[in-house]
Amino acid sequence: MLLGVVLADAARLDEALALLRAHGDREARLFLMHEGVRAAADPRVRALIDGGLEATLCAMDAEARGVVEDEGGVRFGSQYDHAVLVRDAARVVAWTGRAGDPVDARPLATARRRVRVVIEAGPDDPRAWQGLRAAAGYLGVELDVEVALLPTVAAALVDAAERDVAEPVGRAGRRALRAFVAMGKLVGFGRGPADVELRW
Amino acid sequence: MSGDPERLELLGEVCPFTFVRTKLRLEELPSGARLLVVVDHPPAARSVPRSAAGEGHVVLGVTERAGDDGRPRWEILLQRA
Repeated sequence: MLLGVVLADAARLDEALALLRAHGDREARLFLMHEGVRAAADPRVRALIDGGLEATLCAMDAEARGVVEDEGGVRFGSQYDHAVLVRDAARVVAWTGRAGDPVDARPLATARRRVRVVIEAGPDDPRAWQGLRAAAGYLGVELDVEVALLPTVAAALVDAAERDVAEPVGRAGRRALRAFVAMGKLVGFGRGPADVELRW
Repeated sequence: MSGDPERLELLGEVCPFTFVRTKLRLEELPSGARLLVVVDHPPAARSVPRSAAGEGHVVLGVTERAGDDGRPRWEILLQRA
């Protein structure tokens, strides 16, 4: 059973490592993005890689935080690797929200996995744009993607998406939100279950 | 397949739109057709070939060149599966 772990907060690394260790010798992938890329230099991650863990990070987020590539360490990848993980893993555990328990999804085997990205952060929180950027990446691997905005931040996010910014993550996230609106993929709360629901 | 490849300029684009737009353009082409993707976002020089290969396409080459502004850009030649 392929375990896929998404870590967007290096402060939650201990929990992610505990999960990966408990998974034993079975196949597992770790994807680091946002503030999670800071965990790349942790020797405990390197030890798991040496033991067979496939670990990748978002090179764009690493570049923005001055995280440099270490030969034999976490591989510098992209949101493509994140999307493939969400598409393929039998269990997806994601520390992408602000706090609390991670998302822990065990999707059924379906021809085309349905993924819902829930944005709880407001426009001043870069997590919102990271989640939307990641959601756009899911479109690149044939996932059925929909986006739900928390009602308390929805109007502010849609309004902010109309104004471009220079910062790459914010720009990509705004563009992604505009695209989801145009595609009719922006959905409300209370819909049926998705195979995987990620919260940002 | 002879002739110049189709060209897709993605200057100023960042992840994930670099690989998503490449994928969409490749899907419009017939099998065996070549696509030259031009990027200037450094991570895309690796992520675009990797994602294309991951989707079954052929990476024929990646060439780094200086743009008119002196900044590096990368030409990624792909062949549609």
